[in-house]
Amino acid sequence: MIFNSVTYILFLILTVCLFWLLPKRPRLWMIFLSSLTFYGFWRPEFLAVMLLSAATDYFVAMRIEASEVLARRRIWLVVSLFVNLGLLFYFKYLLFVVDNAVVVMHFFGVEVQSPVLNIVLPLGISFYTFQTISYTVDVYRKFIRAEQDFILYGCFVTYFPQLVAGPILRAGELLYQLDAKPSFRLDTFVSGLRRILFGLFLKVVLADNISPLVDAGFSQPISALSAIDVLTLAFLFGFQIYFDFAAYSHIAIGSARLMGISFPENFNFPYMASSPREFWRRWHISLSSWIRDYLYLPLLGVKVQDRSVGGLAAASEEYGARGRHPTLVLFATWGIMGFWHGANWTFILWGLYHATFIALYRAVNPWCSRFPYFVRSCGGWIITLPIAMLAWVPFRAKSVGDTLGMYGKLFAPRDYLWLGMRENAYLAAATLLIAFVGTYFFHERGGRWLHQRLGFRFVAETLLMGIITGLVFVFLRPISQFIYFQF
Amino acid sequence: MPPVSSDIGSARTMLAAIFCGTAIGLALIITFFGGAKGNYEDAAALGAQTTSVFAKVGRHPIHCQDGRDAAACIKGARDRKATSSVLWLGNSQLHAVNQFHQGEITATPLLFDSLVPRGLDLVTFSQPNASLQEHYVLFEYLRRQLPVRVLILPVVFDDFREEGLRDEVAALARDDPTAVGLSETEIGSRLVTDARSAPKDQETAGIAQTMQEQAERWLNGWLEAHSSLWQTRPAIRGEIFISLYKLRNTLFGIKATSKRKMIPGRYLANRSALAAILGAAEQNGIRVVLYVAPLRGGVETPYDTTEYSRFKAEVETLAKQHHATYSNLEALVPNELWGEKEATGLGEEAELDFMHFKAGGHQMLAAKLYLLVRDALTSREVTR
Repeated sequence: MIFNSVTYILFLILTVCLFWLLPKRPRLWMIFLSSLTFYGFWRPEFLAVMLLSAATDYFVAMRIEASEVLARRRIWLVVSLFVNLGLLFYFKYLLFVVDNAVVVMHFFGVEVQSPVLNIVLPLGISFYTFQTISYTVDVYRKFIRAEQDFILYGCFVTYFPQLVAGPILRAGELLYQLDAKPSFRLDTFVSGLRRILFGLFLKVVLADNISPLVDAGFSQPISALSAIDVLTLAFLFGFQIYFDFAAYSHIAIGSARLMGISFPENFNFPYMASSPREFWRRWHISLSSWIRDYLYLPLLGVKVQDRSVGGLAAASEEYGARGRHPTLVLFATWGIMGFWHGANWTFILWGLYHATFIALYRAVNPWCSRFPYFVRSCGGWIITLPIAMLAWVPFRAKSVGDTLGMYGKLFAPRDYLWLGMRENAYLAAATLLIAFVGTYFFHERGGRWLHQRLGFRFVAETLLMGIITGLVFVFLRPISQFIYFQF
Repeated sequence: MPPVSSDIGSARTMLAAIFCGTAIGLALIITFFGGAKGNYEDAAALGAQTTSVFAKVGRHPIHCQDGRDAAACIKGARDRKATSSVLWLGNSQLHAVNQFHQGEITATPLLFDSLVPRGLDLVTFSQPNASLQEHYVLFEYLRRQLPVRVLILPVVFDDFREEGLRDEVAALARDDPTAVGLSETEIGSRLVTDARSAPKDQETAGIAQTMQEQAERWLNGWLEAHSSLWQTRPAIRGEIFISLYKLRNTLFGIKATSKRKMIPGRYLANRSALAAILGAAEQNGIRVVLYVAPLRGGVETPYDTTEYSRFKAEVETLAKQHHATYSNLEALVPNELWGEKEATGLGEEAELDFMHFKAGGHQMLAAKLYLLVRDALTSREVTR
């Protein structure tokens, strides 16, 4: 089920009402069954894949906890990783591996035919497998106890607000909240309602209407695009994917808050970052925190953290200079993170692009620290913003060839002298950038001022809600999935 | 931790703001956009002073738009037992009459009446802001449905700035025989791929072929049956986009006389589509009358002069290569037969309409095209 639909609104109303009315045990069953229903509305046959992953880790975690012998615990951990990564490999990466193997064989003169494999990617598999892996690893690390109650554990894995596209949560963050019925708080409930409305606005009003401009631009042959067009498309897609994904997170966080359950934030004005490192403290925070704790820090050989906050950058500041082969680990981690997003060389290129700029930043940062804060901050933003936006080119382009072709335009001076798209594309990109920066400064400065003045806040909120709900009412329809559904 | 009273007060204020805001938002929508009509695409393309007229002969239309009414035009031609058809494809210039008066007709029925004595039937298809790529799809589809002997095709510089297939044309590209025909060219293959990957229903594209699609359709149907405001949402969206379009034009001083630049990628795609149409017609023995569409004279054209001259030269070259009858009809319709259109900016007067002429212009166009069709049937030389 996707959020931007009348079906979801009805489903949410029903689920929230039942949540507050039911006693504990029936409530857990309701959450579990409604989450399965939520997922089954897409393709019920793939429920089995999700339940296999969940059931495997439920069983494995109990086996790990039951054994004090390290070797046996490790074996069970490997079983969990094998099953989850095996599922991920089969559904997501098998076609990619086979296609590339055929290319390599052709290169060496071995004539083989590409087998026809009809494999459909189950929705959210990258998210729920990571979530169940984190549960098993946390039990192995003795951060948490294995959950004995399968229904409670099942609620943690399948909890519908974050099931398909995150935020990726740790068992330690969610299990206790699901187990204990929170007391109803009006401020939390209202905050959830606002987040949902705001998320729907970002998705159905902004992201879905930027999409045609992006599609039109990327469907052009590379020769028909100028350097300005490449930059414009990078910014447009950067805003589209941000609004799309942030919308999902807002609605997920808001939906959970209607039930008194708190999720960590997943975004924090990422395009206001003044360094590549800071960008990853603000973008998809739960994923980069997961990568930090389950991949990056273990590869570095240093102590892990245990929370879905801070992102990858928090670790690299503390541990980047220490640990074994930090630069190699950085590139390996980012390559894997790129590959997690999609089975295509373009995503790996995306990951390595980010790793390159983080490595460059690490190298120049000591030299930059001699500048005043204002210069570092503004100058850093001016440099980081286009770097972050241009990173999205491989994310959206059809191939590595197209990506390199588009990047190549930026280094051809003559390609700055003409324009190849319709005027609206440039106008939209400029308007979005100005509005985004304006919103950030209002949120940081004006928000505090308003917060202290209830009367003004009521008027401002009424106007804002009028615009948001009016536009959501007009534009609400499931014309597109969320971009991160494809991962 | 129990909630602090100020938190509760603040929460109540925010909840009240949400409800008040929602009520105000919906009230504003009803006030400003409640009268929105369904066909906002035509409203945006034509404006209030121009009326769309789709001609009929007897019970059957002879002038249709695209996939949504193609069957009616095809049936009409078959019921008339047409053995040779003239197919006329174009943009809104073919169906729009500026300063329309009751009883006036477009060029289509006039040309139809002229061609009947020569044993020729006529069917016209036109859409607002049509591109050559859409014409290509329509041509490949319709030549398999009708005994097309002559194709009349206007070329408009504006149409070469368009891109993509509207849903009603994409549906025709998914027709198997049409897709096979289109796939013989690179541009056609791309159009087929785009059409096949495009959702059949845009409104539920995100949940296509899922259980939720059925639930969503049912819920939408129920809401449309019980709420006229819900029913009017597509038209309201259209009005919002038209308002944004006018705001943009006002802020940047864009008018009907502003220069329209070539968009290289789209120009190349549309030129390829034109070449594909001419090639397919030549291969199948279909005569082509290719003409540069009439444009309002007496004022500076809204195109870059160099680009427009290059465009006309390229079209003429393509016509020669494929033995099409070519004619430049830019100056065909005198100034007094052109009208005005709704301003493209906010709160402005009407402005010149470069594309849509009055009924008298349609008479002149029909008369000229009759001569060109006659010439095309008797000669394979390019004429002016």
